[in-house]
Amino acid sequence: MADLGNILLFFLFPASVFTALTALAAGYTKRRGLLEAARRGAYVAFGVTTLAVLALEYLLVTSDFSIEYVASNTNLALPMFYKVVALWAGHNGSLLLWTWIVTIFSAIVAYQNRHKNNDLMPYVIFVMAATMTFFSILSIFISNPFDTLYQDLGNTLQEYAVPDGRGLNPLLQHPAMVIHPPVLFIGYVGAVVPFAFAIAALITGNLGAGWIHTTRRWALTTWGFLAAGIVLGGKWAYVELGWGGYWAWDPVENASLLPWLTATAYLHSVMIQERKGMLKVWNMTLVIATFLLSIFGTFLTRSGVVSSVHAFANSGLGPAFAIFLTIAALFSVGLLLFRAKDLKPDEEMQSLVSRESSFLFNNLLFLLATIAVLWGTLFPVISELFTGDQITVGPPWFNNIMIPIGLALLLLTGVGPLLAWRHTSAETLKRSFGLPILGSAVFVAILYFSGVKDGWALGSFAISFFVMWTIVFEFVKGARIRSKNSGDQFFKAMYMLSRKNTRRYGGYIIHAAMVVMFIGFTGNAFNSETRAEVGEGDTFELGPYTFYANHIHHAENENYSSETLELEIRKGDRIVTLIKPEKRYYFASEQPSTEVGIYSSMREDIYAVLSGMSNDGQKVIVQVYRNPFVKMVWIGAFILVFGTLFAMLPNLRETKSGKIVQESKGVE
Amino acid sequence: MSYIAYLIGSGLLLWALIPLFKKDSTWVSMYLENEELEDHKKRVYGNIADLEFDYAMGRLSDKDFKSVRQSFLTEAGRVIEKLEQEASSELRAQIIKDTSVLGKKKPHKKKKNMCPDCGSKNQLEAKFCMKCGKELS
Repeated sequence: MADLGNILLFFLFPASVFTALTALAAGYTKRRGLLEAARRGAYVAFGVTTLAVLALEYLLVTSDFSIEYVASNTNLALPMFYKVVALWAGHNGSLLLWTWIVTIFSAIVAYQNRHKNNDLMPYVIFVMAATMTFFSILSIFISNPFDTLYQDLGNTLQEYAVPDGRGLNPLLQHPAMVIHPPVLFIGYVGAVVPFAFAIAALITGNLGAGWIHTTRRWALTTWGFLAAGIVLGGKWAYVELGWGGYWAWDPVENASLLPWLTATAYLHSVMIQERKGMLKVWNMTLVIATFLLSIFGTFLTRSGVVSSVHAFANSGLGPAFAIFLTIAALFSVGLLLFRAKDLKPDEEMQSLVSRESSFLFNNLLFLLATIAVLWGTLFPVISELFTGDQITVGPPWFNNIMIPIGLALLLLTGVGPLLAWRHTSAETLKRSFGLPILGSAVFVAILYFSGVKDGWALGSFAISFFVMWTIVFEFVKGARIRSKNSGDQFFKAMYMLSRKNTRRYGGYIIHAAMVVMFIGFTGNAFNSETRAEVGEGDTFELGPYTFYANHIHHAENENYSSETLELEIRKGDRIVTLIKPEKRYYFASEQPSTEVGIYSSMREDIYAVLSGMSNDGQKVIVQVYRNPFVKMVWIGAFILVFGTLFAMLPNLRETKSGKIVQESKGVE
Repeated sequence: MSYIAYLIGSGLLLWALIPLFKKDSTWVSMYLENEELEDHKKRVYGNIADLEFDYAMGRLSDKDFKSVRQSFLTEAGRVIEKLEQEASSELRAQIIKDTSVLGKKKPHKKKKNMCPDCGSKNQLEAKFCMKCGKELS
């Protein structure tokens, strides 16, 4: 089966090269036969990669320990579910997954456009096939998941199999970790589709709004998956890493945030191009940057460059990624410069107080955020290159820069929609902003006098209140006007209003989601924690809570042994709940892991980690955190996904006879 | 096992090659000269719709609404006029092209009226050769 998988994977290389070359020839000659061959090439690449993935799954599920990847990432006692998802637990498997998703997307794009966009398609397929070729080289020649184990017998190398594997990293044995990588990868890889269309538009000179309309849904999907992937990563870190938080500005986290920042900027600035014919070069730049940052993110996480620049040179992946990134950057920036003269704006900015200027500020802030995160992430690498020592910038550095930027962005989500395009007069400003500002001021005063004194937190709550007000106002007032004009009942009017412009109202839902998440982030300002060494029957306190150590017990199964503390949370005389923080020791990987105990309410999370045993072995050491509003982050993420899906729905339109139909024009 | 993989892989690749050996044709570039103007027209219409929505939502004063709407309408008028101009100039170009084709057909017809026997030219409507008297077809 390993041979089968390996050979099929090998076919990906000629298939992607063939696809790229025929696509290029089709673009040059405009011959239908060539384009059809390129399209089929994309299907073939998808076919062989799918079969290779299935072969690897078979090896994982049947525990074929002659395969290095299977032996390093699974063991006999591992539950079947984790054997299946071990496909993306390690380096080589992850790259294969990445490659597979590229082939899936290429095949979908080729199929979707088989009867249209003939001018763009050859180059779209070419760009995707070139990306596929690069990843096929990585998967086949540099980190092949079908590599077998060899032992050195003096003169010859002999294949052998170990009796049992090293097992899956215990930290990865968690449901959030199971879906986090594929979700994030779909987000990363999705960036290739708008990029491919943008490059095709640049090559062919078809620089109208066509490529933007065609890729609208792809851009949104990419963005939604990136966002969901980032939050899932946070959720995993929260429940699995056991340090009490969900975001630590870790290079791997930052790597996923970077393309999301530029993609968010693009989703906003593209509206200016659609409405004003401005920012054409900038939009192209953002699409290119999102793609390059997606590849860069994969490079960052897969090459080990951040842990040390030496790991970069040793892995073989690093230089390959560096070459691909350089070629892609030079090629796309060169093309953009070549076409810059054809991308002149159709209009000029007319007033600083207008919707378009708020979009510009938004983009400026996203740009600043991207540069800050990029700089902070690469700083250890840069410092090591120049001084020989790694200097890491920690979370405080990121927080100092990102909190103000984040709050300013949040404020803009409230201000922007209230401004009219072109120009908003002082009188209307007063009318639009007066009440929400007053409302937020009252809200903040109430908070202040009830004991919230943290400046940033007060600012964040004030802005959140303001933005939420404006969003609710948008829905309510819009629905009222519609209900008056159409005679519809209020809620039906609200539904019809939002379904007639799904992008606008989906956007508002996403803004509301961001507000909810920001309330969650702001909760960090009020975190508190305590550490206690407890035996059975001991108690300790944190805030209004008393913790009672009910029972400590030891358990063992074939996968791991564990110590569990049954911790009762009491508030006054009332028993709130029982949580069970656990410390595990996995036999196969010889690694410890913590399973945190969490009691989660809308108000706060009580989060307990069992850090170890006391020196005499009689007591356990438990760390308890009180984290306000964390639940808001996860709820916000759900709303965000809903908003994204809503924004992707086709608009409804009323015909003259009053019939409601779906609009399909211009949206893919 | 491996020969199955070789068989599947090469079979699929051969399938991708088939279109290269079929009778082929080229597609005509769909890029329209006036695509930019069409984009512009759509944009102005979108702007007017947004403006009316913003006005209904109370984001614009009456005065701003009227003046901005007027400027959009003027812009729309300008774009539509340009589009019509292009369309009529395209039509004219098409007529010229068509008539030039017709014009080219005339000498072709004349050629047809050459005498099949002696090769001398005859008038279009002539039934017999002016020179040798042979019947013209």
